[in-house]
Amino acid sequence: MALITKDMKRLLYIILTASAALMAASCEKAGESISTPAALDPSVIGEWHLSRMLAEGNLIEDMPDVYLAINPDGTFELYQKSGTQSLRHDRFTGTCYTQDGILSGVYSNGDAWGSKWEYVMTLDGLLLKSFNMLEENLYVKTEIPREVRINANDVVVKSYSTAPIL
Amino acid sequence: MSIISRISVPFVSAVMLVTLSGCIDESHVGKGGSTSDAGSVMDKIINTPSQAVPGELLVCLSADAAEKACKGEGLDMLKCEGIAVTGFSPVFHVTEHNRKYLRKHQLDRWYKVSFDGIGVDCAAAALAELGTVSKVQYNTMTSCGSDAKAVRSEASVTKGNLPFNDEKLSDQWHYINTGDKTVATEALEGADISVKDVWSRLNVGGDKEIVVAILDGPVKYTHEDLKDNMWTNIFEISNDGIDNDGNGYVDDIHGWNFERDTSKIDWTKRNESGHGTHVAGIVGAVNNNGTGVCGVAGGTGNGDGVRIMSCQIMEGGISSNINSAAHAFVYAADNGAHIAQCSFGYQNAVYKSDYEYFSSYGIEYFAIQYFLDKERFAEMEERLNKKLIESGKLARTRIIDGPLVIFAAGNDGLPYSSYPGALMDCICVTGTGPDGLPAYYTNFGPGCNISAPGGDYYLNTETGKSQILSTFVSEATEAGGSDYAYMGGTSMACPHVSGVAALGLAYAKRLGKTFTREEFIAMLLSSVNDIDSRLNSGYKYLGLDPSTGAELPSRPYSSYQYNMGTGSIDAWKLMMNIEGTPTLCVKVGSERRYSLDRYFGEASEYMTYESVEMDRETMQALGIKRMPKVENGMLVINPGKTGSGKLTIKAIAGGNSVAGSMQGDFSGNGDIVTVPSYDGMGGMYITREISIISRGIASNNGGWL
Repeated sequence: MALITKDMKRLLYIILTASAALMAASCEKAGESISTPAALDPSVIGEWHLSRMLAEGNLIEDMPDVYLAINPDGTFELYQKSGTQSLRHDRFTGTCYTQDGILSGVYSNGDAWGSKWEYVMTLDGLLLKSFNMLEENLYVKTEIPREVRINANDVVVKSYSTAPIL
Repeated sequence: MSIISRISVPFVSAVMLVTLSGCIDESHVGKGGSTSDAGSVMDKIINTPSQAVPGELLVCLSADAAEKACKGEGLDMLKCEGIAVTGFSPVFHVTEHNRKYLRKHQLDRWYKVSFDGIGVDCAAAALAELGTVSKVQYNTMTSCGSDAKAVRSEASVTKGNLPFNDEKLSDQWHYINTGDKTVATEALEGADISVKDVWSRLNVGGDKEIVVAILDGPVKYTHEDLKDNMWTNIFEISNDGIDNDGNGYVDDIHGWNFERDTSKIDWTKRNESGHGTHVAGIVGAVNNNGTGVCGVAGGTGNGDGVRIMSCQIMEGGISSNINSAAHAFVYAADNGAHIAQCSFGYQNAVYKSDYEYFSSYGIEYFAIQYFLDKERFAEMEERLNKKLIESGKLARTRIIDGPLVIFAAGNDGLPYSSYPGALMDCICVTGTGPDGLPAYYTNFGPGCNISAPGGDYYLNTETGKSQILSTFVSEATEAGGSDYAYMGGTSMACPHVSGVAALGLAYAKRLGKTFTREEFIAMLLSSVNDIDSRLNSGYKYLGLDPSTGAELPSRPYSSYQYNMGTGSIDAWKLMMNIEGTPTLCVKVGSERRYSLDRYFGEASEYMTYESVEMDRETMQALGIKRMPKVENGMLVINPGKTGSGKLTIKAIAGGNSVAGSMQGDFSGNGDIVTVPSYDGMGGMYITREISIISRGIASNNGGWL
């Protein structure tokens, strides 16, 4: 069994203190104090717009119009418009968290997201890769237009607990 | 005034034969006819004398006889002993514009025969003997679907946070239900038609191009809360005694009185029920005028309410007859109605199939078909637009390719709808109370397509506020001289659906969208909230037997489950459907089940699905080996590749079967018409086309992540 000396204890204390300070510093913006839950990587926080979708390596042309807001308190709003919807986005809400480079979430009706997503910050934006690697979504940091928010239709969908969940 | 008989006599061939034998002997053989045996004579008489208007019959002449009748030779053809014919006139006003379609639907051959000195059944037998007559129909009374417990509306207090300033809106729980316990102890917040956000968020209240014909009692067109939304025949000059527009009616300014065949729409008769005015107010009472009540499609206060056409088919009491109703359908069709709002039907729901109804009510059935005829509708709109442009006005916008007929299901508390509402071609409405549950009076089951608030008197017998508040007739004997009153029944539920449909047409017009009638009906009947999940247990209090006064045994709510139609109408959902429907995201590589709530309404899992179709090309593109299907109300699909495509799902709105129909030239004049094909009563087919995207991931609720 390794012996922990007084020096090692001191070193450990310094490392932990420095880490805490570093975390506190990274959470602060000028003139603003943001506290994030421990389970949400600050790099995913913000407002995003889906700009590219690859499915099995193929670029998908006919993708929906999606905005995603991930909030510091771990809640999210998802605005999506697809199909023949012409005027307004559907709004989904829920909570999300990150762990070991994976972004996961649950909708407000209790349904889990269709996938966990490996997330990577790139020069182009936030890249989400589905857990089964079949799909990549690239989100660009974009303020969600006001008219998207105020015109959104809140979707209330029953949760079908009998359906298989990924 | 028509005499109302409330005894329902079952159709029994033997009884008919005895009746005829009592009336027919050789001296009654008509001129130009031949002696026929009692069986074939009976075949010409297509219904029973039950609840028939005395002193008149409807006859369908043979083709040759109809030609002669046009030339004024009618009375000569009808001479036979024992009948003193006092009147002979075509049921419908034939003009150069409608002749083609009246002929197509065999309506140009129908005449009303009035007579003295003989019972209606003997007269029918005698006329049936004539070779010039191919059908005889008793002019049967219909009843309106209201329990007519009109209760005066007392002064209301306008409460805050309402979209319009009409002083009585806060008492109209059927539009905005806050769960106010002064309405009913059981009042449930949200048990309404969800119109508030349509009015306030979308600023949609109607459109003055949309015309809703009210086939009912008279609409009091001078009412302070209706007059600005009345349809006005701009091509007719009032009271000049001339048919200025050549439509066959003189001085028809706001509609016509078919009961008396006169321009005078009359709500001042003794025993006026106020029924037509109440129904009209639900559809289109003027909104945001600081007075009275709101109507579903009454506008936003900017003169944009839908237009109400008064087609008076009842006078005094609360009954109509086939002749008036059939006539009204043709008038409404010829004068531009988008929707025929029909809160009437045959008492005690005596008919159990489309075919049975069609066999007994040929003239009314074909009048409804005339109204629904898409070709006729297109020609009428073209003709109307030409006249509008020539008058320096804007043409009417094409929004839908055919009009709608919406009926009340009936108030007999029976497990099937009454006719004509149960017809496959008609949207049929059941009634709920402020608790969002079936009302004590409502018919339910086969033939019913959708539900809407109709009020429930027994949920608040002290004030009556659990019923529906709308415009009324101060001249009526009920409701103590007020121009606003509460009434209840499927009569009141029906115009909620008509109003929502009218709102939908208005919104479609604003968005520049056009729909086929089938698409629009599919959206309408899919825009619903679930009732069925609340009908697993408990009992419905049915009140008192109207004939005996004894308390009726309560009915388990489970009897109503899956029998109220697709669900309770939701105006907001209809508007969202009109805006468009989202893609359904499905997961590649596994067979999964997906909810169809967004496409068929909240109770989609309880509906009956007829088919799922996807073309071969899409199946190949998505790697689908087996046609997707619907199981237990969920779409089952297993795509093998990512990609996108469309599929079409056909379901039944109301029940698990649809009455069959067939097409053919049944009149021998070369026109193809549709008639019921076999015994059966059921729902309506609705078809939705859904865009599919097949992805590596899919959530259960349709969310993208």
